[in-house]
Amino acid sequence: MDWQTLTAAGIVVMTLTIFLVRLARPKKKSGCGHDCGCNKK
Amino acid sequence: MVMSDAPSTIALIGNPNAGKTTLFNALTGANQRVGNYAGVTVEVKSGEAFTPHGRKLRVLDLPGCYSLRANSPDEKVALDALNGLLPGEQKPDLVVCVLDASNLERHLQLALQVIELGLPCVIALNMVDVAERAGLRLDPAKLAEELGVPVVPMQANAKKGVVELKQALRFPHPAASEAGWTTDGTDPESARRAFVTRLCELVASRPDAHQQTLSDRIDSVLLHPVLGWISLVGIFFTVFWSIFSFAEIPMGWIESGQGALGDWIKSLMADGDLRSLVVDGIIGGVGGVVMFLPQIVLLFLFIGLLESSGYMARAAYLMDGVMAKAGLSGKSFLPLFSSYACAIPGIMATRTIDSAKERIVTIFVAPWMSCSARLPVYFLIIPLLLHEKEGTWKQASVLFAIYALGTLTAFVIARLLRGRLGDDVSPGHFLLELPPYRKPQWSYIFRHVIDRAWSFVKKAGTIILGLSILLWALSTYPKSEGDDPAEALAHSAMGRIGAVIEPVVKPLGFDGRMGTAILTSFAAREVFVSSMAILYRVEETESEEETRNVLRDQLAASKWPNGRPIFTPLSLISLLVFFIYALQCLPTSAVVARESGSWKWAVGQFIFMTGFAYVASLLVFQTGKLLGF
Amino acid sequence: MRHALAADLKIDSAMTLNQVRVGCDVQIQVLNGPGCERLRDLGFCEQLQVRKLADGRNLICSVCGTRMAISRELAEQVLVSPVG
Repeated sequence: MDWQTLTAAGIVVMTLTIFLVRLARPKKKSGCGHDCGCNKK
Repeated sequence: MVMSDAPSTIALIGNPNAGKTTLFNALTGANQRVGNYAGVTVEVKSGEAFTPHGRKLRVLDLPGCYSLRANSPDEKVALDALNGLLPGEQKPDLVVCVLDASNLERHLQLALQVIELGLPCVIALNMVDVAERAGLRLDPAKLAEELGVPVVPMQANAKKGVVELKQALRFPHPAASEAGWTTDGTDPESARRAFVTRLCELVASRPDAHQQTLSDRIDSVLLHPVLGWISLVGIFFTVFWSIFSFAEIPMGWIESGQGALGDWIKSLMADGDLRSLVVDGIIGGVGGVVMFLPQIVLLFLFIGLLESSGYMARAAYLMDGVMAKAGLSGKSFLPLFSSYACAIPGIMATRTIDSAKERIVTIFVAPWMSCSARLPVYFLIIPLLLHEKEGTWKQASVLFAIYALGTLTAFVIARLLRGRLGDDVSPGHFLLELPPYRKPQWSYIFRHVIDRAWSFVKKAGTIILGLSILLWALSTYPKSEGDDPAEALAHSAMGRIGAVIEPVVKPLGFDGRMGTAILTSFAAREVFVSSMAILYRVEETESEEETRNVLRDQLAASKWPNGRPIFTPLSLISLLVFFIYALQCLPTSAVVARESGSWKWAVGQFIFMTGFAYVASLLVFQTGKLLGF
Repeated sequence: MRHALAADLKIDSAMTLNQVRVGCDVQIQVLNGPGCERLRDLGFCEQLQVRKLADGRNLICSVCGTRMAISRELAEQVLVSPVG
């Protein structure tokens, strides 16, 4: 396995982990708080 | 008396359009949304301010309301806040009633009701400049004397009177006044009214009841039965056309920038997985979405302009008749129109709708106003459909037809749903204030647009970036032997998923890869373009060509195993229809659940809309085939 | 100053806001119907002057310098008499 494949695979695994962690952890910000930017505070 | 250290809580209350939020900003220095279409402020915002003596104040901006009778969700929240019934909040220590000095006959009611609640009160007599221009003679001292509370004349949008107001808010707070106008045995309503009439004659004498203002002259055209409609259609068509043509240039820049970036990366490393990840996965995936930033910026800019100038209220008035055909009223117009940008703020704007049933119907159909997230998909497909480069008027017409289709279906379903829900317990009626035309407040419009643009970029940088990486991985691994890209794709995880999905989507005219791309777009619609770019990956890209053109060429050349092209006009139309109707936005469903008060509406909406999309697509494709297309 | 609501007397002789011609100034005498409360909240109070600006499915009126659009059903509940 060359370094490119290794690095690429590493990035993929890291991304997957981030997604799973975000899904598993109950978000404190409910529904639409922050990501859609509609200015509801 | 010992000086308490705890910050006092000050609540701001007043009619919508009285300048309450402008005052809130002036006091707390925060930047909040201000709209002069009644009811735009819908939640309780809090901020901090300081008195001239340096004492901290906690300021609550309550939703605008006409009275404390709690006719709509907004008014109920305000009333609860004053009674200390808001979760986590106690009764405010003092209430600032923001009144429009040029409209005291109407605004004083609210102040009287607040004083009757027994809360300490200070009147902020706002918009004195407007009153002066209308020729009103104000007597704040007499008003203060009659009401028994301090009255501070001010002009919040010019920051005049703010210091005096802060002075009035100093500790110890003025005591609550006795409501001297109510007497035992008299109906409080009429007592208040009588008092207001008498008071207005004393402190705000009006020279002539109805002068024709500039706003009136403009309205003679814009509200004219014929000219008004022509203007409405003209204005909105111009808005849509401007968005799509003005955005061309910056979009071109973004595309070339992307191409240049890709080439540079390629020059840095040899062919390999990482290079492919960065160029095809990341740049291709994220770039395909960021390209739409100019359009989104323009869309929000125009909506902000229309709202801020006061035109939106006129549009709602004109649209009331049309909305009635859908079983709704003109008050549903702004929420639905906002949904063309994004359904989430549109759904939240439904809080101003009095009728609970109209409100739920509006929420239910809002996602069918094609939101801006669908634009990347439409822009990928339309030129393919018409075999042209982007940006011609024919394409604008097709786009218009797409929006029209979504809107019309929404109206039909709204009507049916409204009929099924039955009549309201207490029928509401159309009642709308038409504020005077104003010069748009550019600073708040720009801030709002920048907010939305930034959150779009954030979404691109996080969710879409992550999904692009994962999609790339799914379509690269497991690897196959040999160099044939088609075989490599079929061998990968994505290819296998595609093969499984294919039988389900084939009747709609899609192949397995499109089916997979559709699946991924349930996470975020924009991802469809990224997925397509990855799934139909081009191995070699020439440096001058834009990503999408290349993708389109690739799509145009793809064929089924038996040699027929996949992307016939019919299958493209079927795909467009699917995207018009499918509900593919989890944040929207979350907001629907919150605003409707139950998960059932959100789930029902999702199932209904996705099912509808499938059936509609099916009908279009199969009927087309039967007819020989 | 007392504003007696001689409702029973006035209802018979007054006309509704719907019947008023566009451009006319009238004075509100009585509010009669389920929508009264809301009307009053928004400024359609007894003894106030109103100018009718437009007719149609929804009327446009000017009350105390503010332009308001109200539906025909609501306008039906506003009884007025001519001024001047």
